Amino acid sequence: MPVEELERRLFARFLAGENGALVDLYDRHHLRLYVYALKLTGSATLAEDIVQEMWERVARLRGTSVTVDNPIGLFHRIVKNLFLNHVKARRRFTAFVESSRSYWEHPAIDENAEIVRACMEKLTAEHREVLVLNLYSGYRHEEIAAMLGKSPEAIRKRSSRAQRALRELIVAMRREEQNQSSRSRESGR
Amino acid sequence: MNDRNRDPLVERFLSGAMSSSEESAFLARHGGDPEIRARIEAERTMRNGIEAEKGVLPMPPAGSRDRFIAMLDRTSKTGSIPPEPESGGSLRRTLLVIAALGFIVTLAVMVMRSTGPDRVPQSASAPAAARSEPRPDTVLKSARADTPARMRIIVPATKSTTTRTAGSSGGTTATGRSGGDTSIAVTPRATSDSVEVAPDAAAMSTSRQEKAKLPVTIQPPTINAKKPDR
Repeated sequence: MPVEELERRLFARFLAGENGALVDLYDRHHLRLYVYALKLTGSATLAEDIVQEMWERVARLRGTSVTVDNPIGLFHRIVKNLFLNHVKARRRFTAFVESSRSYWEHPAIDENAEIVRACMEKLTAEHREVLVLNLYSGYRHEEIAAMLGKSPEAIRKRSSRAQRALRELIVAMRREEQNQSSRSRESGR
Repeated sequence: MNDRNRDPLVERFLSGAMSSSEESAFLARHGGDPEIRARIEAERTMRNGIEAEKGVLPMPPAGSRDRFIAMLDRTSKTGSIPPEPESGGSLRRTLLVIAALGFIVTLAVMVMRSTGPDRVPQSASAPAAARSEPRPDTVLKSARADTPARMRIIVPATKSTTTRTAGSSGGTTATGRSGGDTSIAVTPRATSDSVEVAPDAAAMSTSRQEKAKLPVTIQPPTINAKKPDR
């Protein structure tokens, strides 16, 4: 049985009243969605809040007459919408959000990771999303396709283009660094 | 060689998918190409950077799963998600209510005492000696004549004495006021015709205590009897 079908059945069992089915889905996806939220927000606290809120919203669905064919797509959509709500709120309450500590202040972040992070921020939102889901959260292209409502082939192409764009940005950044260092050497002479 | 042909080769080289002979051929052919070298370097940076970052990504808090399961249980019981109970919240609320009630009662007693009808304001023209005298005693007075002796309120009085029966079967209190028609509240338990009474020292000021040292003889107690003026 494909994973998507298995998860759809798990969710249907949860809606029918079986708590254990949602716990199963939690174990499969909580960490991956948390990493996705972490990459979106840059804050561990905020990521945890967003993902926890997502599970609460999902739990509330049991009392409704909703039908969910793509539960993982639903989880992803709720996390994304909560993040967008947060971005809107950040415009209004900048001071509060800036006080939350970013995980990027971790001392073990090395130079390569810094370069990748800087280049990821220059990617388009679509490219960044597919790379985060694939390379950081560990979702397969088929799963991402189900989440985003696209074909697996379209996601594979998007991922390939995103990686190429990221590579080019890294090359450009490396060149810029080399040029700067050679200019500083020349000015030192 | 264009990018489309180069990228799969670079990817295969970096992922280790090439055999050793393929790798040697690849390096011999493209190793000197600065463009390919830059791409290989960028690919390495990307992979190493992502791996390094994944190694330091913070994990979700340890209690996340337990909180999720608890939330799920609450939802399945109630159909909605009630707020998590605050630890000590109800105790704090109870203490606050008690403190507020205590404050209100204290305030009410203070207001009653300061605006009571028996309080005699000192006039500015009163003699200095009179003003320097201790404040009139506060005596225990029955709220009502038929009220049990234990239910008392303290009111200020100018000229009054309080006597308590000695040797009576208990608790009889007689309150008198020399200048007025104050009623005497007596519990009818005293049986003797004449009762020796000692002053209630605690209820009198020092000056009153001195006067009250003399034994007082009062008439047999009569319920609600009017005390004759001296």
